[in-house]
Amino acid sequence: MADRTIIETEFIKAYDDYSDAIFRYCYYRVFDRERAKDIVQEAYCRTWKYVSAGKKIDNMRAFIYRTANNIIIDESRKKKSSSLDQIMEKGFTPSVDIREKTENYFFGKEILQLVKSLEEKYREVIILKYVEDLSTKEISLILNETENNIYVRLNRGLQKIKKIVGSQESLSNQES
Amino acid sequence: MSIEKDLKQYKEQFKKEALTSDEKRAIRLNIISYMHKNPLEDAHVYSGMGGFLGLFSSKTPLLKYASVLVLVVAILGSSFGVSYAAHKSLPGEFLYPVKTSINEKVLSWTAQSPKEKADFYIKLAQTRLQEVEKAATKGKLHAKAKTQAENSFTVAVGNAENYMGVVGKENALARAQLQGSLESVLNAHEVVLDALAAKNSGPEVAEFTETIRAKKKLISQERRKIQAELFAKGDMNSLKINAESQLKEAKKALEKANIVLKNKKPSLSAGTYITAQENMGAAANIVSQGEGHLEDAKYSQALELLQKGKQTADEVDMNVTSAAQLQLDMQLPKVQSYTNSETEINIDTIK
Repeated sequence: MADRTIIETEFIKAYDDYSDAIFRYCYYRVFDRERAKDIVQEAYCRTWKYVSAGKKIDNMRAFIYRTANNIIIDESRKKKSSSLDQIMEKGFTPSVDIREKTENYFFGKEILQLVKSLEEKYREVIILKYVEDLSTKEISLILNETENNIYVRLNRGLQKIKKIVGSQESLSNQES
Repeated sequence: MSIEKDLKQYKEQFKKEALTSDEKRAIRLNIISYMHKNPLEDAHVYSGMGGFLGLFSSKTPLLKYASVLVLVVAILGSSFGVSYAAHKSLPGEFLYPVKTSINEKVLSWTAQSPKEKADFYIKLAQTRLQEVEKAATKGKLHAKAKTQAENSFTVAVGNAENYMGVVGKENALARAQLQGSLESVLNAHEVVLDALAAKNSGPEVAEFTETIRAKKKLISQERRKIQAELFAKGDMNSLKINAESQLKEAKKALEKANIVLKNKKPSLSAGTYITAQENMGAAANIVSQGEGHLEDAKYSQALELLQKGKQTADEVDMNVTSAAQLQLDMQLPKVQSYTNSETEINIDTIK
């Protein structure tokens, strides 16, 4: 009877310790604060359901991230068809118009905008690695991919940022 | 400058996107509520020593060491001395987990029916609040103790709500009355904790009080909704039976609170005593008005007033008990007497 309280207390502690980071991760995936809050709650509830069924979790933090990630993927799959229809009708415009940015790339706000403009598969690994300080191994557990794949995605993501910055700088030089 | 370095340097910019403390608390409460609606399966929890010992292989150090602690405590707990010592422990202390997970579990077996179980957990929620008040008074409510107390409090309230739900399937009014009792506990201790927070007992007291306020709001909303639906339905026979039962409860509460107030008078400050006495007068008046409505067969109004009268008396009882125990000079909220109107029931506390 004693371990029930311990398991419950440990689970609540996992909420107290990781919920801020998981909220940020969700927010930078969906860019909708209310939705991100719902995903955090849903991720913890699903994790608890797993725990309550007597299943063992070795790395609680990675497990909750992964659950949140799965919820986001499920939702985006559901929305994909309708989004594609909209794009077909209206045409595609990137959310961040990088041509408007001609200087100060290296200030936090600019970096944030650059990361926001990245494709999701690069954005998620960069946020987990450089904002949340997770190891490549933990990221691989969260995203259910090999460490090698994560490493490649991180490097490609960084290359893409460099490329955007490079094109911005040359555009800026031409204008001046 | 490399992009990696920029990302690391400006990560604080990213971290500005965060949950507010209110948002975090609200989600926390929802998760705890979900946990109590979906408890650990018995096969998992009571899987015998094999399942229990499985925890020792946990890769989570906290879980591993907590398991060792609980095993040691369980062995020691077989002796009465440890169990008795645990009974007096406060959040953050070594024996507190024995108290909340072993002693009280055994005590819960003494309650049989769902109503008795609900009553037991409401009293347990009150015990949790009294422990927080004692710990805060002794300057021992540090962050870890607060978290431990908050979790135990939430577990007690969650269990009470579960059993109230069971009671409600048979008798929705009885459920609303139990919710009223829980509300009284939360109201009374909110006042005590506010007084402690005003004495600079640290941020933990104020944070804990916020948890109580959030919970109280939810319970109060639910109770009002249930009562409004039942009053609208107008099952006169059921309303009459419940109003008669509530009248007996209210009179008992008045009698008990008056005795407590008289006994605790020497330990109370003049301000606390005078307001408590005035509130008891208001409670007696409200109960009397409720009794009048009952005689006139206005059962909805009678029920509402009798519940309010009982809650007021219970809150005075709890407030003066805490004030005397903690030697605390409290500003009790004054309770306004019922204004005799047939169409409008308007009883509010004036802070």
